[in-house]
Amino acid sequence: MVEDSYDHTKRKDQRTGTYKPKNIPVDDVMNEVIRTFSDAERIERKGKSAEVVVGKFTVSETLAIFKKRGYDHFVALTCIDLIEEDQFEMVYHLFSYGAKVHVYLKTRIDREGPSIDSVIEVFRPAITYEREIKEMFGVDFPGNPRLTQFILEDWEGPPPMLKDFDSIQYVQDHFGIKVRNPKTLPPKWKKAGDA
Amino acid sequence: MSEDEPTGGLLDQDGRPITNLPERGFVRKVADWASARSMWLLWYCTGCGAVELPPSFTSRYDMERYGIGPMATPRQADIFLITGYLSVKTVKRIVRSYEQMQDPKYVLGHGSCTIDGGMYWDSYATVKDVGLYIPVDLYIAGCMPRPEAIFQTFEKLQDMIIKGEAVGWKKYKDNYSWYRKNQDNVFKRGPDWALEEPELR
Ligand code: SF4
Repeated sequence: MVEDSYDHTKRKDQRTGTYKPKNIPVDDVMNEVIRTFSDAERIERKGKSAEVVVGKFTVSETLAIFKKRGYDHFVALTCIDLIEEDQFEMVYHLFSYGAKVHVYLKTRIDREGPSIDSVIEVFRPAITYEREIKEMFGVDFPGNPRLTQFILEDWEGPPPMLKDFDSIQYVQDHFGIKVRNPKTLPPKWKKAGDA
Repeated sequence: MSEDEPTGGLLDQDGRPITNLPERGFVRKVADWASARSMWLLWYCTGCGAVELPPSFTSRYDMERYGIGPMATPRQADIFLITGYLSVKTVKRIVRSYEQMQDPKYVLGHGSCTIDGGMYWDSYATVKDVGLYIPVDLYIAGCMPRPEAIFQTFEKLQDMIIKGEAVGWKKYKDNYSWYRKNQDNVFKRGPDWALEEPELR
């Protein structure tokens, strides 16, 4: 069993006086998560990493469990546009300095009117990642007080990282140049209507 | 200058602004001849081009041979060297710096990115043609150009100044509404834009 209280002062190395990170195997934490949330599902990975898929509404609580068990470095939050499935996948990257394991916590949200609760109560640094994803993908994060314009200044177009954002059309509309011959473009830039 | 009043702008067949070469008296000609040999360079290091400038400044190529030296602020600079792609955010700062420079002022676009976007031709974040927002006197093609190309451009610019052909600054004044329209397409002048309608007291 893993201990519940997480007190940095008790884990101080008496000789060097430095903080010693908690070393709890990822399997223990994963089992606890799967016991707690019935919809959580672990996905097998090789190497020093672990992956778990949880429901949209249990993200904060799952992150809190990981944080308490030593997975307390919030590395990044990423968003993936799965346009064929009409969904966004959010990936919360965590790291434990004791166990030296990366954890990828994934969840899916609808692509239409995307919204997921903010996790800044658990990991404060997420405030900036959520701000960026709001700007680049248009995902809303209720609970985040700082979803203002971030990197793009004076932007009025659709969120530019979406797969259906037509970059060439945007360039022609806004920057006063013509893309001369779209037929010579590499196939990945061609649109369905192009010959 | 109010933006809706057209300012005597002439357009060429591509719809680009042009301007008449100014009449120069004898004193002006002598002054141009002299000032072509003593210019201060404001280098705006966007994109990748900044790495070509240390060799240009320092003893390998030695920009001072041409009387050109680096300058820290736009208000004292004569040449504005833009060294690469400009994001929409940066072009705002570029216009702001350009408007702070005093006439006569010359703009050099360094690298393919300033000409047509270069390898960022389909990016939503970078402007493609710097000449739409400020008048560029000379472009240096290449991705990226070597210091030799920069020096060739300096020589050409000196020639143009001596002949009275480097009139980008005049073009900007004469066709301000044309440039202003393009600028307004990509960014907004916020309330902190001190240069818009300065208060005279
Ligand atoms: S022209 Fe080439 S080297 Fe220069 S900024 Fe663009 S990509 Fe970089």
